[in-house]
Amino acid sequence: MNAPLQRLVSNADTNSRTGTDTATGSATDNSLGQTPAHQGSLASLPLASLADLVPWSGVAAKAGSQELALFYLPGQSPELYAVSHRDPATGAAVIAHGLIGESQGEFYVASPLHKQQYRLSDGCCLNDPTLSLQVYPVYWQDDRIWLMQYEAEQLPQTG
Amino acid sequence: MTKPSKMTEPSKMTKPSKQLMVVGNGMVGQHFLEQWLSQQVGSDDWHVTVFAAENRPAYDRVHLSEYFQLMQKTPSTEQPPLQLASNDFYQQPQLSLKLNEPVLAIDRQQQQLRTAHGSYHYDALVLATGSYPFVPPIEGREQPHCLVYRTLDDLEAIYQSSQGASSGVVIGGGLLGLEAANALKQLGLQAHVVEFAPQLMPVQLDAAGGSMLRQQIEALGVQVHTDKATQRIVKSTQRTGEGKEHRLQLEFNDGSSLATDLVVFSAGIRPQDALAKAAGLELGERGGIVIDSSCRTSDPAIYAIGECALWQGQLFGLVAPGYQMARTAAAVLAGDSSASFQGADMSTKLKLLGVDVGSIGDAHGRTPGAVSLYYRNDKAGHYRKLVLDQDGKQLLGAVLVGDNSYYDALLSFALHGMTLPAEPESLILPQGQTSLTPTSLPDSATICSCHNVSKAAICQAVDQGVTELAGIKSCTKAATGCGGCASLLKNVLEQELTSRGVSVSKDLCEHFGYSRQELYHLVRVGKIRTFDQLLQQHGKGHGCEICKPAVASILASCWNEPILAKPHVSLQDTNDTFLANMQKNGTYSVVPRIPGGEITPDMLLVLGEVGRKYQLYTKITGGQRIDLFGATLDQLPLIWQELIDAGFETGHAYGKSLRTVKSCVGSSWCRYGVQDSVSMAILLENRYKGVRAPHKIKMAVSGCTRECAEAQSKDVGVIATENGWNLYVCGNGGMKPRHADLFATDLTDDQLIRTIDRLLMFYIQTADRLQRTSVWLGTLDGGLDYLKAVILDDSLQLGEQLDAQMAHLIAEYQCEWKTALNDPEQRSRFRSFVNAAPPERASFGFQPERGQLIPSRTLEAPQQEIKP
Repeated sequence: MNAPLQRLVSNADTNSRTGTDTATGSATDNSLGQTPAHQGSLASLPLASLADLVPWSGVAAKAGSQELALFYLPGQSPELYAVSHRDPATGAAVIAHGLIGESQGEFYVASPLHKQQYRLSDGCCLNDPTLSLQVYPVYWQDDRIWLMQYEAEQLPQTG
Repeated sequence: MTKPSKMTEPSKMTKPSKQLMVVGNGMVGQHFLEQWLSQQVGSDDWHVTVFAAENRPAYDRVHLSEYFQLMQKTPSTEQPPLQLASNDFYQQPQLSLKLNEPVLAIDRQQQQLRTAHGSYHYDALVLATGSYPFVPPIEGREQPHCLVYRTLDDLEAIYQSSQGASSGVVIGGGLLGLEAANALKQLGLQAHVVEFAPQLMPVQLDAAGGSMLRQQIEALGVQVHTDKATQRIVKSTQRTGEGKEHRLQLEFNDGSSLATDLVVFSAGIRPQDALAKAAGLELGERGGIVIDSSCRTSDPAIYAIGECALWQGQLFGLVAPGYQMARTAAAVLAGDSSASFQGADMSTKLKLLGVDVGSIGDAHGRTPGAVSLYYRNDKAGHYRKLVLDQDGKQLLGAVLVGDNSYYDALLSFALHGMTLPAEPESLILPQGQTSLTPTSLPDSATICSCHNVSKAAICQAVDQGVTELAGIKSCTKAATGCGGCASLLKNVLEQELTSRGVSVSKDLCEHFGYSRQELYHLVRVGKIRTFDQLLQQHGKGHGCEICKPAVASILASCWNEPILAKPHVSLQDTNDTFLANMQKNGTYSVVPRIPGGEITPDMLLVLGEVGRKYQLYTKITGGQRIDLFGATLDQLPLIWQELIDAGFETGHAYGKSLRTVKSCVGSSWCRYGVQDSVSMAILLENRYKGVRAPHKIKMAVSGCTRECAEAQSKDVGVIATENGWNLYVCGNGGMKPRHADLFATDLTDDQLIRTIDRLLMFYIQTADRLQRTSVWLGTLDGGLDYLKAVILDDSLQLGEQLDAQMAHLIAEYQCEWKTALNDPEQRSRFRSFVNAAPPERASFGFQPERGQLIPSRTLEAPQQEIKP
């Protein structure tokens, strides 16, 4: 089970695409901080291939009935983020089509409908504390992106 | 006898129709004919015969002074310049035009007219004999080179006389005198105007207005001599600069004199009523054929219209009241007893020697108790006066010199008796910084209507130390709803900070310490072609949703590379990314271009079929095109493939770029249209489509002054005149509507396009991010006058550069949808999910309404749930 974990949403990708090395601390904090990833309940779903991604932009993918927005920030740490695709302010499935922004070194996505900003690392809305996106742990393997799956009761809480 | 045998025409002999005779084919007589014939379409009841003393059909006397210019431009084979109707007009079977056949007498008992060629029976008679120029009884007025200014023959005589001449004098400094001076100037003569009164245009203008006009006209090289009564005209003894003798010399009552080569009398007009007088019709004491409100004379079979007619003791020496009489007479003759002439407003607006002059109502303030307000700018040569009633509530009159853009609003106040605003002077103060400045907003004004945030709430936040726009947004929620108030909010914040002495940063965002305008220049001068290059050289960090689309727009405005080309794709807002407009439920709308709003039935069917096939909600937009709503991302390429195959192009409804050029149907159909507004709108729309700008741009073209295309509410508004096009700029509808300002008048097609080219390019180069033209205009130091100087007078000598840049943008145009469909990589982006089949459209939540599908009103965030 350790092999996929080392590639979790990090720039420490061992498939040598980015050439950066193994400073994985922040990445693991971001996506797995509260998750007992080593538990045996872990399963994975394939989301996308590298060719599907658009650098510095988002695409939507499905994991079962769940809709995810994947953002690809080549050269950054981490370089891949997965958040929920639904805009919590309107309920429309649009978040993958928002623009990626950066402020004080933190990355966020701006909803394409009403421009609320959601931090990619934890899904918090920067303009309205009552809103947030769910974040998902994802990882690379063989130029494919996988979603880590948990048992339902272990899901990260949404805000 | 119904007709003289020698004048009969066989084809018309067969119809024993009634005979309508019109004496005079001037502007008013011609207008009568047009009105009459348009009412009589399909009817053979009447035959109309027109007698003209001149040897040519009706022409535009108002623009007589342009004749010499026009003569040089018009090929001799074409219709002569200034002629009002096409030659075909006079070929209509129920109309006979008799040129060069003045009517010599009217026999009212027999109902007959007599000319040099014979006698004619009339059942009804219309006198439109106009007026003749008054020549004051000055000694020597009958010698050669002493002329008048009324007809084209008069102009021919002036032209002949100008050969070998170097100087010409116009006696009379009224409206017509200044027109005549313009004609002399165009013939290359040194023009002088001699006026008996102490000022120019004493009827229409007050003394200050007259003196401002004088300054302007003298600056154009016309010499003005006021307060001079000419006593005699004698043979000259003075020599010109080249040693030649002048022909004539004017001697004035004050002992001074003026040498010249020709003299044009323009000291007023008198009604041409001799024929009526000889026939025994009732005349006014000082001339003029007396008419009632039906335009009937004292003989019920005879009507009089135009300058020869006297209504309630009043003569009307303007063309507009003449036209009103023409319409009245035509209606009454056709049996409409309700038609009546009720007098006319004598307000005028015109351009004399290129100087705007306007006069409304009681321009002299003669009403007892009247109060006047003045604005005067000697530098710009502008003078404006308001005459108010004693309460200051009603506008009685106004005088404008130098800028007539104020005229229309003032005229409405005066004509409709509308109550004036509390500070009526705002109506004549310069409009450079108009009401768009937030200073003028009261504290109670709502800035954000989504969250009901007042200006006071924003001021309070600023007082508590919030100085960043983002901070204001998060603590007041202003501009976090629809976002439509974002730029207003920014203005309010900046103004509040400035008033508290805080310096306001014009930085675009935290990544660029420059304004949009500065970034534009950096991009252009540094030949920067990508966002990354710009960020590396002039910015920091990784960019945001503010700077990315702004820079993408700048790059497109400079180089016009496809916006979905690889380096640019991640910069675009979702609407630009998917070349469609995202709607509230995450679906998109599709708007093909329909230039000028003109569409063939076949193309309309294509839209109908596509709409039906994909179940798209279909609505006509305000910009005269058709919006198809509710397409999913996956459907967009399929829909566009069908549209493009049928010949449609992208409409750029998603872009900060030209949206539409709205038009009325114009002269090709409309009986009032004076220019082909549809063709012009199509030309403009095709010219500027795809040009990226700081904000969206809307245009419109109206085919006449009735303005059915509502051009004055657009960034660029074009309104047809009889001589070309008037251009209005920087208007908008929306949250803070603003009427466009009159920018230039009577432009030719080429002049119009060049002016718009330069204006747009200058806007693109200098406006702030998401700044509409109206707000941009407000930020320019010097406002409209400055903009006119830059664009019309090329004061910064940017003209050629602006032309070249616009030409580049136009040459690089491509239909973005066509490009996207032909590029497999771009096309592959139109997928709702990269790893799953397209979603059912139903999953977006639609409900039926009035036979179409709209987003479900109960759209809510679904439960978040992951299945194992």
